[in-house]
Amino acid sequence: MKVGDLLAQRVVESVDPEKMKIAAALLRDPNMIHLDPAVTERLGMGSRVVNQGPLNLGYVHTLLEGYGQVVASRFRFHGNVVAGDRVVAGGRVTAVDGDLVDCEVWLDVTGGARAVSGTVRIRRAR
Amino acid sequence: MITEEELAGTVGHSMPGGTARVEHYADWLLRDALGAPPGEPGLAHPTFAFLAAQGGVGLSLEEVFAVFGASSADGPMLGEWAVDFAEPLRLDVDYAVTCVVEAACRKTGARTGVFDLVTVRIELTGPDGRVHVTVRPTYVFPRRSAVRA
Repeated sequence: MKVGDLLAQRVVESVDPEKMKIAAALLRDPNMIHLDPAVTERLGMGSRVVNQGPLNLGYVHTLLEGYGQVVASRFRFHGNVVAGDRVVAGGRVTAVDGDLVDCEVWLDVTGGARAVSGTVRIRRAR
Repeated sequence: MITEEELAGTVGHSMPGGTARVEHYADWLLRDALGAPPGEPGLAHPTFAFLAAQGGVGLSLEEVFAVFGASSADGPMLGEWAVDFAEPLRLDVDYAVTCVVEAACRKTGARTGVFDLVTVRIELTGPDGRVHVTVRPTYVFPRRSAVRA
């Protein structure tokens, strides 16, 4: 890996609302915008449930696991991902120091906006 | 709405804390939700740091919001999230969890109006007494009742 290299993208073709139910239970997250489209509708957020933030950064972490062990990561949340969205996790190498690799990373909604951006450091798998 | 001085006064406040343990089946469920392949044996998915940290704070999210004079009805959001792994998060290991308010400040945005940013530091300490994982979520609390300057 060298500076400027793009990481292989990880694509979720359609964000599945059933997975949000698993995440809600794991997170003990009572927010119904992740579960009930009637609630998102009532709140003026559209008719599709909203993916949990940890799942959004989790797609990026999953991409990174293919390269090595995550040592540190910092994420900023810019917007929502909703059920049915196609999302693409990607990254670019910004620094290499021995087996430590720094990257800028992102999660984009296809046809929409960037949902997550961040920086990460990984320790390359040997 | 709490005053700016009261908000600043929350810095250094400690949450009750508790313990965290990543069960292998819970890691499997998270990986299933993410479409992630199986991980290295004995290691949790890195995103599980989020769940382990939040679950070990010793308060519900609603109770955490209340520390800052807010509730879920105010529409709090997770603005940023960071993790540092001194060691990878391991499955079926008991971690002690501590949580302290690290930063709190009030800001005003042209579009968003008044909002508060609060960062807490959550540490997961392993059986060897060392901090293995440090997690820093930054919450955004809209203060819609505030009058803009």
